Amino acid sequence: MRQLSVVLDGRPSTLERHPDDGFIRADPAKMGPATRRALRALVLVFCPPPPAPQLADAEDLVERSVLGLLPYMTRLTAFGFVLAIHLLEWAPIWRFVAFSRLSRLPRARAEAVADGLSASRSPLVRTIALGVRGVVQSTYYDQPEVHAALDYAPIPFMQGRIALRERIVAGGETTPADLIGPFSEVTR
Amino acid sequence: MIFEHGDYAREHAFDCDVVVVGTGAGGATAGAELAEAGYDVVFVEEGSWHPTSSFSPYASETIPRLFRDASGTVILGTPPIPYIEGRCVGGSTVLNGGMSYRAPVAVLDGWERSTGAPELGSAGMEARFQRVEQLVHSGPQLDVSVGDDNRIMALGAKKLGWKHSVNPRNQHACVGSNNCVFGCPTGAKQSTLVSMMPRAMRRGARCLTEVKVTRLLIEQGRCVGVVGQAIDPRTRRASREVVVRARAVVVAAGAVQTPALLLGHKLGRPSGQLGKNFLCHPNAKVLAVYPFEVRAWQGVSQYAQVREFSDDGILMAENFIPPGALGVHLPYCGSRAWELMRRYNQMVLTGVLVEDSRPGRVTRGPFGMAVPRYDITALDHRRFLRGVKLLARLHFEMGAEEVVLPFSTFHTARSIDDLEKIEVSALPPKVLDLFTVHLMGTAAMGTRAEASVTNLSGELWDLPGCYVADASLFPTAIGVNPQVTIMALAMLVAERLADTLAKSGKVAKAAVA
Ligand SMILES: Cc1cc2nc3c(=O)[nH]c(=O)nc-3n(C[C@H](O)[C@H](O)[C@H](O)COP(=O)(O)OP(=O)(O)OC[C@H]3O[C@@H](n4cnc5c(N)ncnc54)[C@H](O)[C@@H]3O)c2cc1C
Ligand code: SF4
Repeated sequence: MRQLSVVLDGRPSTLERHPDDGFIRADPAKMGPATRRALRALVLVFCPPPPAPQLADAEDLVERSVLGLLPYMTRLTAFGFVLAIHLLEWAPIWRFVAFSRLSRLPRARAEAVADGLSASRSPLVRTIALGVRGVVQSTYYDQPEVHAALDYAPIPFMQGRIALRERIVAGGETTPADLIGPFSEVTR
Repeated sequence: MIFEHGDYAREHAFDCDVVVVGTGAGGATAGAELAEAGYDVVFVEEGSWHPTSSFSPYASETIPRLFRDASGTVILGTPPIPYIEGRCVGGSTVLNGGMSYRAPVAVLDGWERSTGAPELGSAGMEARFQRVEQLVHSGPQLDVSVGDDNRIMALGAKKLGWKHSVNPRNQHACVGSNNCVFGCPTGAKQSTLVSMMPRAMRRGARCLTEVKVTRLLIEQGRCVGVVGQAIDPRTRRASREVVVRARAVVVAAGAVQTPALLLGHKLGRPSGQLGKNFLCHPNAKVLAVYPFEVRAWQGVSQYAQVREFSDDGILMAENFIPPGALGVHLPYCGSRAWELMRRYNQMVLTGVLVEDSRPGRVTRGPFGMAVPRYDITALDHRRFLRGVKLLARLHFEMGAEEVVLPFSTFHTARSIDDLEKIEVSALPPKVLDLFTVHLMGTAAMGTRAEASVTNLSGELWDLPGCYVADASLFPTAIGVNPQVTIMALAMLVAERLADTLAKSGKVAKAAVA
């Protein structure tokens, strides 16, 4: 039970990836070996090849992420998600584009088939593609190596903004140095 | 006091004056008003309590913590529309963009005319709007919060001669950290987590978190409490029944979950309208890539809106998000996705919001699941194509080199000329990629039992003691961001409920210091 003082404590964020707010993460969902294999194979198609950063443990990361998210979905959604993994892996066959699993196609061709699914006129086909791909890409683009390659550094920026806000709330003045950008001639 | 899962082993039956289901815009506001009026309030919230100190820009930690169903929520129809709802103390206000608009005068006066209730008209709502705006600190942004994507939108609108207005936002010294959708890490955004809930808790309200209300307690035709299931955080399974008995029940679980809960009791019979009139302000994303640095992750999300076309039901705004969130929406994978994402610092993410012209419906599906359905109309379809074309044009006028469009069969425009391909016949509704965060209207308030779900006190026509106080109450779509109007209606419900409780002889408890 948390007391009032804890509730009213409006401390700014510590910006940690795994904050200690007392939240207990759900045990990872269980996944059959066939689904696991299919998911891991799809990771290799959906995560970009070099020159994009290559994560040593991309398959593990995504697998953990998916298994960690499934318990938060409704049973029906989670079931649909698992089904979508298999449908995606077998997409070349049911789309009549190749007699092979997606992950067995040469990379460029596999990507083209997957992109073809999100370019489909059928909302059902798009939904199948987007859910699984969304989680894979979300996990990939959430990693520090990728952030570094994108030149995206939210933590120092946010730490600076937290300090600025504390100064403002305490009655301090802002200065031109506190402005964000402009970063180009167009916005100057 | 905040109760968590482990606490229900010791205590799982509660008594109070008013139990409020949900702690979002509506529930927290109604609960805070009632607690301040001296009533003993218990909130029941399905999500957990996450303080400001835990918010971060990381999708993989944030989504299971704050988003309903880990964001796997979709409205069925043509096209299917993914939607986001908060599932945490503060509800969707923890994730929202902070735009604080009142429903337009024309909409409110329309509500007054259609219901015959002056309380719902612009004059009748004025005092409550003022109070909400003061409580959530609604106001203009500081200059230090403005980023380059905000500037590009302002300059683009100016160049095209379009009306562009700076949004009032519910924030106190927002400094533009651009994390609104994952929870404000500075504490500036006045979500109900940091505004209304502390007001209620200071007055002794209790908040039972990690409990999903599954049914109402009904005795002798009157609603006398709720029954919920405490959710085991490890297994996510119902682990223990929690019962809260109260003199009045306020349901504020949002416009999708509220009707699903009430439909479980076959309520809403007089009008048959419960779950109908589902409105959702669908929106479409338009992602522009510029040949220069924008660094849109620095600067406030949703600083302003292009309101030139608001009379036609079209609004436009910028709303940048972290890469882990943007990754979900990419139309490509692998190398093409990287080709786009490597220019993350050159991107401006914007959206076209369309006011609904025909409502959908929420029903109760297997396992009591809420099933929202919605099809866009021919009018909305035309509005989307027009809005997307106009917004893409703004980006090209400002020098964008590429604009990613929300059409599955036409993802990329590289020049203004390409936009000529945006035609009704070429891009039917089913190829639109839409998205929404405004869910409204499924338990509309009114003055006639045969035309609405609740009366002007928010009380269900067919279940005394059961009140609704969330976005479900809207009689129509409002065409602007809804939180302020939800809060104002929740205040109306709370005022009237406090009167009823007072008249029924209950003396409000002395406020707890
Ligand atoms: C990403 C995003 C951006 C937005 N931007 C803006 C904006 O800029 N301006 C604006 O005005 N609006 C915005 N909105 C919309 C606004 O936040 C919502 O309309 C508003 O919060 C809805 O209020 P509500 O009370 O109806 O529901 P919610 O705020 O969603 O609260 C419902 C609460 O009920 C809980 N609940 C649901 N079912 C149960 C149950 N069975 N048992 C117990 N608890 C339950 C949920 O966990 C949740 O906490 C945005 C929303 C989102 C998601
Ligand atoms: S921009 Fe940052 S500081 Fe401002 S409200 Fe959003 S998250 Fe909070």
